[in-house]
Formats: sequence, structure tokens, C-alpha cells
Amino acid sequence: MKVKRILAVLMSTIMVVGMLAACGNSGSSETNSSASESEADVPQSVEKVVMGFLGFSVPSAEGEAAVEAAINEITREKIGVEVDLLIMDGMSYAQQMTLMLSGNEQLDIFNCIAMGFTSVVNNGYTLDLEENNLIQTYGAGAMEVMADYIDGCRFDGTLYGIPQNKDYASYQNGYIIAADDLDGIGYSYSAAEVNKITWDELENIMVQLHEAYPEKNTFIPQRVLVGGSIFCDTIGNDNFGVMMKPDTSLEISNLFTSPEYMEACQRIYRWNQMGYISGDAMTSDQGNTEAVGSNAGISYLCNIKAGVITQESARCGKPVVAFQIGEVSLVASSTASSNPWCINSNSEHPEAAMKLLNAFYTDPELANLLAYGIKDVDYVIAGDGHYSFPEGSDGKVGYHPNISWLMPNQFLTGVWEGNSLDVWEQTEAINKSAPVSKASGFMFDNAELSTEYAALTNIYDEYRDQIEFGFVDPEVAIPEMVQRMNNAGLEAYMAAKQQQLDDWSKDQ
Amino acid sequence: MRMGEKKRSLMRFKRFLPIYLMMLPGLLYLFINSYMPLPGLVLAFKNYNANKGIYGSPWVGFKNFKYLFANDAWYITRNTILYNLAFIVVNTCLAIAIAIILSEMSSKMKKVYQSSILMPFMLSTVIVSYLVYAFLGTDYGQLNSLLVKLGGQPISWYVESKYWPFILVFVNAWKGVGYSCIVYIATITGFDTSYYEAAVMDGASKWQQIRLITIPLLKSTVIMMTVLAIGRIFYSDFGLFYQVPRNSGALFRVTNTIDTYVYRSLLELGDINMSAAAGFYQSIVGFLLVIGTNLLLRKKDPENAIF
Repeated sequence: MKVKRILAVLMSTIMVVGMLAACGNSGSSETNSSASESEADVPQSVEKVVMGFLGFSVPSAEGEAAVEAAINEITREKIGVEVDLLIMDGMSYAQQMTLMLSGNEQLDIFNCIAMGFTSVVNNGYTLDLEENNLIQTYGAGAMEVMADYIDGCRFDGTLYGIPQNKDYASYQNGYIIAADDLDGIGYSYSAAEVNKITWDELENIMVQLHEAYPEKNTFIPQRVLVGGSIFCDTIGNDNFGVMMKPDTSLEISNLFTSPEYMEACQRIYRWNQMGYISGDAMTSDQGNTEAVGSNAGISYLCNIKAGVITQESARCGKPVVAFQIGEVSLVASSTASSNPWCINSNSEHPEAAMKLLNAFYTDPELANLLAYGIKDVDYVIAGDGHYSFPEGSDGKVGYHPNISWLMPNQFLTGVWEGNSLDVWEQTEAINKSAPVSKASGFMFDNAELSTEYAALTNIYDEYRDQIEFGFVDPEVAIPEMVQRMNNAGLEAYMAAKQQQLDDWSKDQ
Repeated sequence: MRMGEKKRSLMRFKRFLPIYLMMLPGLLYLFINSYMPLPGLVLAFKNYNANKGIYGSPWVGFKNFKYLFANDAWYITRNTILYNLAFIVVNTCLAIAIAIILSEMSSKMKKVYQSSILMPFMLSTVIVSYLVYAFLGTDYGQLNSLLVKLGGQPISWYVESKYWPFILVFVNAWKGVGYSCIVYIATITGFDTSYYEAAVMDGASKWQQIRLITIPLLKSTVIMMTVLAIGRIFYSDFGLFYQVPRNSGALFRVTNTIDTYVYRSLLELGDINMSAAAGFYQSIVGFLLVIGTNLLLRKKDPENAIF
């Protein structure tokens, strides 16, 4: 009896305490950095900013803390700013960021990847970088580095973000094929250079590969057909109304009725009929690099940029060969605004944030720390200047976010092994030589057309994989899809885009 | 007399005080989680801007609802309602049947069967989607291997939409029946056994007993569960309609429900107002349907009405 009474009293106490405990701790934030321990002796004049971005491999807590300490040592002296890095993985990045931006947690600098620059701006999360001449005063270095592309982040004339320095142009119709399978059919290729071939030669290779390896999937399709094969500028980051001749004309036309789209889809349909594509391609969530790496697949479509062979070989886990058909490449209007760095409109330290961003754009030491971590701990420099993982680490180090193209200025960072030492110069050369879209710097605001956009997105999602992976005859399916899109308001959507584009170009 | 009444209610309060205290955490949770966010429903009619906050953002009337009723979007409402009706009918019948069968078993076997029937409910829908994929995969699925062995042609399950209403009803029943039958089992065990003894003495067969005693006695429970289900008729299990068909575009016409349509539309837009509008639509219509059904019940069958 006594035990029962004690138990009853105990449980009721737990219940009451549980209720009250919730009242006390509401609003505790989930800062996951160890830098908070070093807050004790931060002098008043040093401001602390929080910087969040995505990492393909999230660093360990110690790795991240060590890098923060190293960065802070430099920035504390030079600009009186300390940083707290928040590196998250891809799955939860968008949601976590949105929560932090709409809540009250401190977040000063962030990257718009996975969230969409347009929607971030429309939701009011980004700070106007020219307010009070913020960027002119504290970000002059960044402005200079990104002078050619920074206008791409203007929305309605206001500057909301700074683009990263990366490959802006790439060669379309690039095909990556596993090296060992090519050896198997006895095809001779160049391993270090991109092989330029014609469509007929590619078809020939595919036939031979399919014959030699019938159990493997000769071609792995992914949702890159439009970006990878068709020379056009997808305005506003959606495929509903694109510029088919972006370097010469501002006209917006229907991508889906264009002959280029039909041709690309017919090719895929033909390949599917010949058995190159797995029947499960639409439902499988195995990526193209995984498939090649696990010897289930042989080739896939990929844009060719400087360093693509190293990058794709690393992603596949085995050597691959790059083929390129045609010379076309383009600097699209939305490339600059795909993943810009922004400052939170609710930030309490905008000047400190701007100073820090500027430092990452201009200081090579900081850029290397942010991209690769601490020298001799997270990476080593070989005799010839290449960066690589330390001996025996097997690629597992404390800090290696593996996302150097997201860095503010990756051209300041070291060259990873496998890439030629002049890869940054090559990238710059391609950037400068590529035709630039006349709509560079234009952002399409579709807030008034969200009904049409919702319907169009659903229709496109319904047909997309079937058509672009070659499961239905494009001659039949494309007109059907276009008909439904027209019913859902495609013409109105395209007309609005054209109108906004024309208005914008008048102000240029 | 008033003094006496006051004293009695005070005494009653004191007697029930521990029970009120036990209710407190649950009530607090209900208040914080369900009642405090209610004013946020206005987001459905506003254009939210993080800088202005919820109450400072401008009103836009019914603009946020348009996308749910667009030309091409009527089929999502049709799908949601029809699937939910099918689920209610199929799940109720199956749950009652299983509950009756289980109640006839010895308690040892009952426990084994009940646990194994309940197990699918505990599985996450993502896992269920992979289980279904193992059966329906085009190249390596079990069903296709079986078909080929029997001499037929493999079917591209994830492209043919005509099979999917049956597949989804089946998967939903398989997953949910274990949970729904618990309520019915509990009700059946609470029945007065004297009814059955009297029936046996009158020479009733098992089937007659079920038809004439068990089912009529279950009526009030069935009505309550069905009315609650009707309240959720515009909702759908997101996992079931998004994960199980593996997001295959070819199946959209039969697997797109309001929840998945909203998700797909707003994935890029990230528009809080439009998703709030969808939630508003689903919950308000459900609420009205529950009230309406209850009114109907009060007229026809007053003792079974919920409130």
C-alpha cells in the first residue's frame, strides 16, 4: 500500500513539474556551435555574426570549431568580427534556414541554395545591400570581384544578394561514360581531356556498349534534359516560357513546342526503345553517379566545365571519360541568382556581416579556411601545389564541406588534386568567352501568377519524366501536355514574363 | 437552501479535484497546440511578409484559394473525397470483421494475431513505399517475376494508372485496419454476454448471433468513428499518396490529392499564404461536414449523435 502511495505522489509530481518545465524554457534556441563557450572573454568591440550554408558532408563539431577559431583569429584582428559557422546537410537545410529566418534566432549571413532566391526575397528575408551604402562602404572588394554578375541578384532594381564566383558557362550535351566499360568495348579515348565527338559517333558507342553489357543500364536519365541539351535561357528558373535565342533576342517562346525540345525528347525516346534505359528509371531514386559507381549504369548527361572529369570521377568513385558534342554554352540570366549569399533583413550586425562576406571574397587565407579547413589537418598541399586529403585519412577529415562551388570566391582557393593547376583560369576563360544572355540580371516575379504556376507545375511534373526519360512517344505526349498547359494558363504566364522582361529592358 | 447547494458543489469539486488536476497537462497541450494557433488562420487571406509579421501583412481576400479550384485542379478534390469514402467503407467493414473474428479466439492466439495485424500501422509510409516497390518494381519486382514465370508480360505498374485506386485502397487497409479494429475489439469485449447466452438457448447460429446482436450493438461506435472520419474527408495521408506511388508523374490523375497537389505546387514557390489557404479549406470544410452530419443524426437517431 505504501509503495502505491509513494508511486502515486511521485507520478503526480512528475506530471506537474513536466508542465511547469515547459513554461520556463520556451524560446531556447538550438545553436549547435561550440563557439558559444568562448563568448566569455569576447571584448565589447568584436561583433559576432552567424553564417549558415549547406555542406555536402557536414563537418564534425571539433572540425568546425577548429576552423571557426582559425578564421576568428584572422578576422578578429583585421575587421573586428567573429563568426559562428552553421553548416547543415542538404536534406534539412531549406527548412532549418526558413525556420531561423522567420524566427528570432540569430542568423546574419546565409546562402539561398535550396530555398530559391526569388521566394526568399519575396518573403522579406533578405536585406537591401545598398541601404545606407552598406555594400559600397564595407563590401567594395566583393563588388569588384563580382562586377560582371552582381546585377543578376537585383530584384526590381534593389540588390539583395552577392553571387558566388564560379563557372557561369558550361558546354551542353556533355556525356559522361564509365572508363572501364569503354575499355571493354575497345574504344580509345583521352582520359584527361574532354573528347569532342559527333552525334553519330555517340550513337555508335551506345550501340556497342549496349551489346557488350546488356545487363547494365546504358544510359541513366535525370531531370537535366533542358539545362543539359537545349540552348535556351529559362527565365525565372522555370520552364514555362524561355528565351530560345538568349544572346540575340528578348523574345520568350514556348519551350515545349520548340523543335529543339522535340528533337531532344525524340532522341531519348529512341534510346529507351532500344533498351538503354531501365524500366524503373522514373521511380528509382538511385542517382546517375551512384548507378555508374555501382556498375549498374554506364553513362549520363552532364554539363562540361573545367574540372568536370575530376569532379565526376570523384562522385562516381571510379574513372570516367567526358564526351562533348557541339560547342554551345551560355551564361544564363538566372545563373547569377541561383545561389547567392545574402544578409538577413533582421540581422542586428549588418555591417559586421558585410565586412565578413567581403573578407571571404578577397582574402585567400580565409577563402581556403572556409572551403577546405585547416592546413595539414583537413588537407595537405603536395609538392606541385595540389591540395588533397592528408595521408591515411581516407577522405575522412574533420572539416571538408565538399561544396567549393558555393564558396563566395572559389577562385582564391587551392586546386584539388585531379584538376589541372590552371583550372580557375580555364573557368574564367570559359566564363568570359561564353555568349551572355540578354536577360542577364532580370528576375521574374511570379507572385501574381501563382495559380497558373501551381497548375503548370503539376502538369509538367505529370508529364516530365515520361517524356524526358523516353517512356512515351513525344509526338503524342508533347502536344497533349501543351494543350493542358494552355488550358491552365500557359499563355497568360508567358505573356506576363514577356511584359516584365520588356519593361525591365527599357530601364537598362 | 443556497448554502446547501454551494456546500454540495464545493464538496463535489473537492472530490473531483485530483481528476481535474490530471486533466491539466492534456488541456494545456490542447490549448497551446490547437487553440492558440487558431488566429493564424488569417494567413490564408493575407500576403505574409516576414518583416511585417502576421498581423501587419496586407489582406488579399480569396486570392490564395484560387489555385485549388483552377481549371485543371478539380480532379484533386474528386480524388481526395472518393478515396476517403472508399477508405471509410472498406476499413470499417474489415475492422469490424477482424474484431469479431478476434473476439472469438482464445486470449493467447488473440494477442499474437492482434500484434501482428497492428504491426503494419507502426511502419513509416516511406518503408511501406519501398515494400510496395519490391512487389511492383518493373525490372526486379516480385509481381512481374511471377507474371513472367506464368508466361505473361511484365506490367509497368508505376505507369499504368488504372491499377492504382485498388493498390492504394489495399495498402491503406493493410496499414490501418490493425489500429481501427482496436476500438471495435474493446467495444465487443464490453458487451453483456447474457445476450449471447439467451441467443444460444434460442438456437441461433454463429452468423445469426453476429448479424443480430453484435452488429446492432456496434452501431453507436461505428457512427461515432464514421462521423470523425467524415470530419477528415478533405485530408489525406501524405505518405500514402506521395511516397507509395514513388512520385510518378504518370499516376498523378489518380493519386494526386489536395495535400500532394499543394506540396508539389508550392515546393518551388514556398508560399506560406497558399498553403495556409489549403489548410483552411480542408479544416473548415471538414468542420462544417461534422456539424452537418451531427445535425442529421440528431434528427434521425438522437441517442447516437455525438453532441
